[in-house]
Amino acid sequence: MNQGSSTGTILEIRNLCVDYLTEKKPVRAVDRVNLTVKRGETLGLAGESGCGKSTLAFSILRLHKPPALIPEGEVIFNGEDILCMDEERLRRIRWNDISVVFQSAMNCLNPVVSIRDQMCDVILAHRNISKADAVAQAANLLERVGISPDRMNDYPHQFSGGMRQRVVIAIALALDPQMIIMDEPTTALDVVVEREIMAKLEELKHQFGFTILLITHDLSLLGEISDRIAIMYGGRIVELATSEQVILDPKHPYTNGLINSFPLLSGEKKVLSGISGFPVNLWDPPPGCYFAPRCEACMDICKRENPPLIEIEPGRQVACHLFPTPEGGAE
Amino acid sequence: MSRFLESIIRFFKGNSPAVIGATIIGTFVLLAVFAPLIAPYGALERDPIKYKITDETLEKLAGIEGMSAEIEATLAALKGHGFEDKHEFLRTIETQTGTEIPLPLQKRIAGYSRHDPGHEPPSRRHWLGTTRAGQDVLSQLIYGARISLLVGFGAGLIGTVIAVLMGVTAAYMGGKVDELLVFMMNVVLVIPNLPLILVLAAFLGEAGPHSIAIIIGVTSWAWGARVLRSQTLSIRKREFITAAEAIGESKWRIIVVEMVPNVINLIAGQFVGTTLYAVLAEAGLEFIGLGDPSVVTWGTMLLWAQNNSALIVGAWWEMLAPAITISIFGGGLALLNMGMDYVSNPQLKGGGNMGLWKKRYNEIQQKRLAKARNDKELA
Amino acid sequence: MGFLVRRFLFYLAAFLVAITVNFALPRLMPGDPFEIMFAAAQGKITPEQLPALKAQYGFVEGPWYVQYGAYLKSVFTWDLGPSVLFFPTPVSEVIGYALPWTLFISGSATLISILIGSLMGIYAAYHQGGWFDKLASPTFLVLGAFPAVVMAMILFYIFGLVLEWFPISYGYDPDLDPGWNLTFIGNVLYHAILPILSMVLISIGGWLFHMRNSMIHLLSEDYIRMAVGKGLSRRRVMFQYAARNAILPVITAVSMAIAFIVGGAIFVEIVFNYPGLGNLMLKGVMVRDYPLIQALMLIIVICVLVANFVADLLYLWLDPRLRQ
Ligand SMILES: Nc1ncnc2c1ncn2[C@@H]1O[C@H](COP(=O)(O)OP(=O)(O)OP(=O)(O)O)[C@@H](O)[C@H]1O
Ligand SMILES: [Mg+2]
Repeated sequence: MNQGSSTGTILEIRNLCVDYLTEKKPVRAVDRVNLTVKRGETLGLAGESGCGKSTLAFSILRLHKPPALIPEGEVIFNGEDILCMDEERLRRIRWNDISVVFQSAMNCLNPVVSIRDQMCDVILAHRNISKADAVAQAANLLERVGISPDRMNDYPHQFSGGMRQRVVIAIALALDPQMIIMDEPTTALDVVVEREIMAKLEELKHQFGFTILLITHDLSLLGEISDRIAIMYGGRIVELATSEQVILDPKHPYTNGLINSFPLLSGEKKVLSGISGFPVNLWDPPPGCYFAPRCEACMDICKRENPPLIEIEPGRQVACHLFPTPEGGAE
Repeated sequence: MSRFLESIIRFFKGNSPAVIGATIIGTFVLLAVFAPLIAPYGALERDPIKYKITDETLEKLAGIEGMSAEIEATLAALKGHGFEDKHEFLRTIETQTGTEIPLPLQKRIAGYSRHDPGHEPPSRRHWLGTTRAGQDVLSQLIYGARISLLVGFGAGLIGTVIAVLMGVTAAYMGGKVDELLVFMMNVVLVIPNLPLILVLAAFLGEAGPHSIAIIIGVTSWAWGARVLRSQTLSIRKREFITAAEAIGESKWRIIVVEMVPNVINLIAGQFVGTTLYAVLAEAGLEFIGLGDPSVVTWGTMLLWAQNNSALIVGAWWEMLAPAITISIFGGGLALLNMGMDYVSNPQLKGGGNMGLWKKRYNEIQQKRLAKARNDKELA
Repeated sequence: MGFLVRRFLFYLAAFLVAITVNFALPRLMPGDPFEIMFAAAQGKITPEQLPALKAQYGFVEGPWYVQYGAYLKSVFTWDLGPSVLFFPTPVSEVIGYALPWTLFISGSATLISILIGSLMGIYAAYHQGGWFDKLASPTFLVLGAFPAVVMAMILFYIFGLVLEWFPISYGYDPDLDPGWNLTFIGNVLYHAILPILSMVLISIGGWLFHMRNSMIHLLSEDYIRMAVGKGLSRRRVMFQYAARNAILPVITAVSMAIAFIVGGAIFVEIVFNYPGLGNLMLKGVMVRDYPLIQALMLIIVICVLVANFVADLLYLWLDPRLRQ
């Protein structure tokens, strides 16, 4: 029962909506998102800045803050809806089962508390062990991410950006969670350090076997390390498929635009075209498909109706009127 | 002009501290400006002296030269009646007695029945009672507002001007000038200024309202200067200043035209804060007798109340009226300041939709918990 | 360590500035400063004593720098001459008697108001927009806008005169012999309640607001969200993560707050006839006892500088970023 759907699904987001209650009117930053994360996979989530990636990530563990609200939806983790949990149950799930590496990890460490204490407090909050054991465990974790345990008593400001990032990852691994949500874990870092950390991460993933939800707008990175990729636009998932499918054969015009605005490390040389126009204004969204005003293949129906996310091939979903519902397909 | 009005409306909208504060201050300003029209009496106008025959009067007059049984009977009959006019008082006695009273006796009767106006509790005639000298407390408050507000705003203005000059100059000049000015700010900040004000006032002897305003103004700019400096520094980094510099505008023009408008809310906050401080300090200084006691201000009213032992003899109104008035005015300034903080820093306010958020959040959570419980029962 | 040395040098410089102001003030006044200073002392001091006194107060013959040197010497040897008001008791002795009283009430008032104010600020920030925040925050803000005199007066009237719950004058019952016994200490505490309460009530709002605003900024920091995400208990997030950091900017505001408290203490002491420095200051000002006033100014400045230094130490202890 506790293991929930035995099909290998670890997290299932159903119809999730997140609103920001602004002064004038609510802004829907995440709009009816359905997303399934399989146990052991690395699922990438990409999209332009402001499309609601972080908002989605926060709401999984209910880390959203005012004025954000989750009016609808379910977040089923191992068969249990996180949104329905009471405070204590939620507290125990946090970090123990799912941990988060936040965007701007540089600011994620408390500047006036030593690294050791920041690692130990999370261990002690969830495990019934002695302080000494917790310290030993913390030392072990630091070593694994490539930081000398001698530096445990130092404070965050004494570390470089890349080291801080690794400390944050070490903290995320502290309780051996089943799943880690990573929100642009390397945005603040230069490319070399980014690759280094990503390599480390894959190594750790092999050791620990956790599931990753990796959020970034760096598609080339996602292409390399994730199994599947979801593309988000204006708070909605517009495409979901395996990495190769998304990178090499994108279906949604938006995905296409995104791919074209990135130089692919492995891909052939091509002209970077990008997407014209500006991201959708969530304060005043157009009726129909949010991407319609920027879309080169825009049709009449696109301006009127929002295309649902449908399965066009097994394991491949797109929300676009270019791909009509297969005959007899369910709504 | 309409832009100006619009920005004022935007400032007050949904900002209740600012509305309450501004209303209080506005009311006081109006009272001060129109004091002669509003105040029921003059500031120093005393209640007239009263003539009233009491047992004591009768005792003292008994058997005095020229006293007769008729006069005595009349006096006894008039016991307890108060007269405001001496002649009327004496004439009444004469007409009631029916004979003429010799002049020396008249003088003595008047003398022994004369009553100073004295403390009078709040009544229809004197809404807030009278002082020991028989002055109307309400009128004194209204007239006192003129000087007290002037001292407060004056000191606020002086302090703000110095703070702006120091802060903006330091931030803009940088280098040695900045270092020196910052040192000055920090020194003035750590040296407690109330004792300094006391010493200055003591050396100056009785300090009139002008001196008090100046002393307070020149000693309380340091915090504001520091805040303004750091704010200006961060604004200076922004592009448009760099752009203006590139065009080759003079430094001073940049300071005045480009920077000041960007820190205007800080400046306004500094003005309100210094004014508040000045009002408090003025009250204190005058209360302990360092001001000019012949000028009617809220502070000197406190001083006179204290000298008259108002609280001890039970004339609480003489002390509490100015005390509470100062506090209301100070509270108004503080609320306005809070409102200004909210505008320059909306995060602090949180009001408005925060309440709505909380309500919705609880509703949603309630629903989810109920659903969870339901599911559990079904399982 | 560089931080502390820098701060110490700064306080030394500030002290020198204060001394210099103190030195210059009587000399900038019109007329012969010494004449002014001793106009009030006529009768108490014989003309024969004057020349010796004059030297003692630093009014030696010679140009200003010689006088300044003599003045500095008298300050640093703490040999400030006799008070005019309490002639011939030395100023230092007069002050020595009053200082502990002031330190006691201002110190207690400061600690109490910081403690209560910060806790309320934390609570208000954590429940921003809740009933406590909506009610208590403006209430204490308005109380903070009461002049110290007025607050003291109101408490004096209500709790001293009308309800007669607390004594309204002096630091202890004059019938008691001062000593380290329970009766006396209890009596001192009893007498100190109203003065301390007056100061606490006017300064609590400042701490509340500082802490609240600082905390609200902090609660939006990423490491707070991470702490919540880590599944730490609410209390731990609130204190170890948020309050611990929020207090830092509050400590930097301490210099202003201390100056404010000192100002408040002066008036409160006057209202309650408390035997501290403030009351002494009033007496000195009334009879223009300049040696006493100047010495009081000095001692107050010293106390404030020391308090600031203590705040710096605290800051250093709380913020590892300053420890290098
Ligand atoms: N506190 C808030 N109040 C109102 N709207 C907000 C708030 N926070 C975020 N939003 C809006 O929600 C939308 C999604 O924001 P989010 O931070 O999730 O974007 P993101 O995809 O993570 O972007 P980035 O790649 O830049 O991190 C944005 O359009 C943003 O304007
Ligand atoms: Mg984001």
